Amino acid sequence: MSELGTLETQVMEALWGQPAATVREVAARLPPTPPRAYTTVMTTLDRLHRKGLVTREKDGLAYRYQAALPREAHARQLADTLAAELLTHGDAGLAALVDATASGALLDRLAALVNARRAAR
Amino acid sequence: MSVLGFGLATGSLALATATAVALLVRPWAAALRGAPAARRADIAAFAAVAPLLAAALAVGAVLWPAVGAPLGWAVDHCIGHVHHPHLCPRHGHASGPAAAAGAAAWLWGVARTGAVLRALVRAEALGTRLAALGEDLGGFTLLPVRPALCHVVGLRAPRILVSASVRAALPADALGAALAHERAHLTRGDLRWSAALRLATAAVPGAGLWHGIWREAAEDCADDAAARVHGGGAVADAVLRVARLGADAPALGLGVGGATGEAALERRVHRLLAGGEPPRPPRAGLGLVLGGAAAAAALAVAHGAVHHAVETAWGWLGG
Repeated sequence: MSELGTLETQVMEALWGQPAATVREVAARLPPTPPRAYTTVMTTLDRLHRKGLVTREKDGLAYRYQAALPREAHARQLADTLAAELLTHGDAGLAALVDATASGALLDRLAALVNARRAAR
Repeated sequence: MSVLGFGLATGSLALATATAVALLVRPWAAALRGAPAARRADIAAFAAVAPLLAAALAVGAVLWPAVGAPLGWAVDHCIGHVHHPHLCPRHGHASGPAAAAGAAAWLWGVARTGAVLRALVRAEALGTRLAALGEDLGGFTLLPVRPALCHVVGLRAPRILVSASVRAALPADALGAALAHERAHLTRGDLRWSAALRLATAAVPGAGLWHGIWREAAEDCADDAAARVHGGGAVADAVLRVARLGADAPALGLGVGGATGEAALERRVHRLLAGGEPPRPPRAGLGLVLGGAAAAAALAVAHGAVHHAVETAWGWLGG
């Protein structure tokens, strides 16, 4: 799941928790400033559809758009995606408690050692 | 030599000097094994920056006559140059190969440093975005994510990020130890040091080794700080539990893997159980200030000798 731009976020905010809407209806739900052209909103909705963030159904000559996921589920997916990226990012600008992988056998052996040492104290 | 030619020449001069110094100090890395963590961190930080200091000294010495003469601080001796080439922004010329080598050095430096800068900016953005999606629990941000995160992220406003999966997997004492470890990174300013050392070593072949040594030492210092409060066993327990979460989701990756990662993890746990080390304030900043002062003093006292040595070497290399 990719991060959203400013207008994409505004369009998603206009769809979450709201009934399905045409491009014109979505445009009407956006903040009045800055003014957004009809075609700009249409392009943004098309891009969100290609990203899988909105679904659409034909309604006469126009499409009706709806958020594919509720806001909370979207936020969880986005957080998972960002967290996964952080794990594979390397060490520039961050420090991890653990940045090494190990086999289960080694982890078991070390955990037994730690437990034995802590029990002995 | 035109300003452009001189600019190109300083690129290859700086890179060659920095690389030579990096190769000279590299064998000393082995001597740090077994040294206290704080001392390892200090020495590694200094060794990481030393190539850049040497490059600055060489470029400074070359520039000194041209810059100092108009101010009355130096004698412009350009007309005395008959026995070797002259590096000067106002006189002389740059040979084609020297200009090409200089251009390549600049491109290399800009590309390598730019890659590090991009990674730092991305980490900052990731940290900010994740923090906005999490819950501030006072001292750390809890993230509603499955991947095992227990990180300090960000240079402008470093913050501790802990995923719900880590909090659920760690008993209270291990979680406290993990947070104490991350807080130690914040207190020591490790992320800013790490970024500075990465930038300092990015373009210098062979210097990245010192960033790796510094990083391991900084982790050991953070482990020791946490162990002093919670005990080495609790810190080791936290490390192993988080490592197990990472092993359960191998697709996500947790950095170093294989034999290298296992050896590092084993060394760390044994070190924690052995009791760690007493606290010692970091002195890398003082060392760098003294190193910079020494380079400036060398420039002031021996700029003539350094200037001619650099130009003589430049002549040998066909500049």
